Amino acid sequence: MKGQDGTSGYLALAGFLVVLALVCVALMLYGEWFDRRLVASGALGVLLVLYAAMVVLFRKAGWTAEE
Amino acid sequence: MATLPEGTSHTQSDTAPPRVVGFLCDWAVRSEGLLNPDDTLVGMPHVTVLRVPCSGFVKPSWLELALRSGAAGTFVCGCPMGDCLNREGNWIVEDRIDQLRKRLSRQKVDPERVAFFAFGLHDREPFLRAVAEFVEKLRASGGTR
Amino acid sequence: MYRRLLSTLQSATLRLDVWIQRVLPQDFNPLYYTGGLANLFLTILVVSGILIFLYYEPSLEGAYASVEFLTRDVPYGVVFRGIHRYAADAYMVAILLHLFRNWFTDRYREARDSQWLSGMFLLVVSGFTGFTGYLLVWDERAQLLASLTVQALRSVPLVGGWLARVFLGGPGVSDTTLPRFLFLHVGPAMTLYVLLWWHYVRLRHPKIWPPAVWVLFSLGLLFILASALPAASGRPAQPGASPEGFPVDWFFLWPYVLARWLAPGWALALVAALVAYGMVIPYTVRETPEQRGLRALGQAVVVEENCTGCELCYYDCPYNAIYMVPSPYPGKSRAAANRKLLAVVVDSRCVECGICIGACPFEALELPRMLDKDVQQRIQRGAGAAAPATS
Repeated sequence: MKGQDGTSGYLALAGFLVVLALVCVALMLYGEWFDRRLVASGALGVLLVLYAAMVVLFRKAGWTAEE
Repeated sequence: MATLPEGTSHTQSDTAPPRVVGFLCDWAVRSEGLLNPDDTLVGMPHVTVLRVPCSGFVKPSWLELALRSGAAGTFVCGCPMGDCLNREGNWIVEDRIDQLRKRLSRQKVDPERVAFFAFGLHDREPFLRAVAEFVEKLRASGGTR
Repeated sequence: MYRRLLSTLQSATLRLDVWIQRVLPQDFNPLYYTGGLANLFLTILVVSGILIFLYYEPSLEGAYASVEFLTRDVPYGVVFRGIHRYAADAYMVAILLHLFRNWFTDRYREARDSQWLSGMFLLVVSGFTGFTGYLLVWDERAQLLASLTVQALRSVPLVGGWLARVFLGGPGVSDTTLPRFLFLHVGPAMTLYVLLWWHYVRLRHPKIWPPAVWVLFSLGLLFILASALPAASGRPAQPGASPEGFPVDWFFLWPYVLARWLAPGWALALVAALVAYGMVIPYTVRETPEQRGLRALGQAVVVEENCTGCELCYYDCPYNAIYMVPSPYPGKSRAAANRKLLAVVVDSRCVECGICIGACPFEALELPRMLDKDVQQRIQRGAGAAAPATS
């Protein structure tokens, strides 16, 4: 399953999403520090959606929870 | 334990297609026009498919019986994982097949001779392709051993 | 003709799966977990609801102000209010998807009608709970909704006046009205869990939670919506005011949209008629066993001589249709002679799926119209043990 065509593409995209996730964390800290709370909660929402997307990408790259 | 099938394969032992017995649940692939009255697949007379009310109905002992009676391979096709009409039948039979494969490999029978597929109402083409690939794999690995 | 329509709808519903599976793996398909998604949103509603409840003051003067206090002054209060509001919409969407999918894929027939009926009650109570939530804010929209509801209730024959008084907590809007609305919101929300017990009671291992992917995605979406479109109240309700238009959430409020064109009493009658039809859906399609084909092979029968009481069938049956009872007499086969328990099939719950037959290692269960020995014969013929078939 691993090493199929597109695996590296999926993992590269997942890596890009990890970078975006870190941006979200920064936004959350910024929002809380400067009292822009809607920015913080919006960034948390985006972060959760990114996590969901990463799980799908990892599964498509062949990683499952088994064995 | 596995005997060579009588009849056709004596004279054409290398080119006769391996016989396969499969089970197809009523809710999975749309089966109109798929089967002949004698349970063989239209276009693939070496593949017999028995329709069952749920993939969970299939007993592992039937799969073993198929292999012992001369089939090169056997399969169960249930609904897409998560969409069994009875909610759990395909998960249950997938587990049973996993356990059967372990038993078979302990008895020195190739566990890859038992396959499990999960297809839905509109997936007739992918199902037929999967069956054809399974037959090819059995032919390449030498039929009944 | 009705059956052909259902068959077309079934085919179209399953065609959606083909498209979804181009993007997502099979077991992440959200349409397989619509019940679990509804439960997820209900849980989010309860948690966010409790947080809002801590700040809410159910009185004519204090309701609006307490909600404004939560929205403006409590850290992230506006986010929780928004999550509560959008989770309610998502909950309604999930329930409707659940209803339509189970309807169009035949999952309500015969022994499954218990789930369908309890589901209809859940739908009605959920819709009512969602509607009363709007009233609690006591802004102009709430006032208009309350007045339309009172009109609709009053038009019910015989008991209309009494219903309107129960709804308002008195003959008109008074100090008891807002506490009454709070009760009509939280009380039905709690009965949802009783109804859910009924919904699950005939099922084994019900899928009550979606895959983690969908939990993450749903929570994330709710946070995004709550932040991008913060929930806000309209103008505060004034006694004697008659407010006009307002943005409408049509998931819950479509009968009120209809009130533009129909008298409120007729809108209520329409809702009642739809609910009544929904309740009888499992009984509207009657098919003979021949028409149902493989799904009518006869209810599972225990072959008592062979049953060893191993309980495997009991664990595997998805419908709780098998019970183990203390064995009243020993079985015939050696393994069965020493049994403590005996399997019993509950006919009213058996849907003839045969999963128990697949589970039994002792040949102690059969489907009457697809017997073990017939299956074995067909297998042997297909495997070539008999003379090869010529097609």
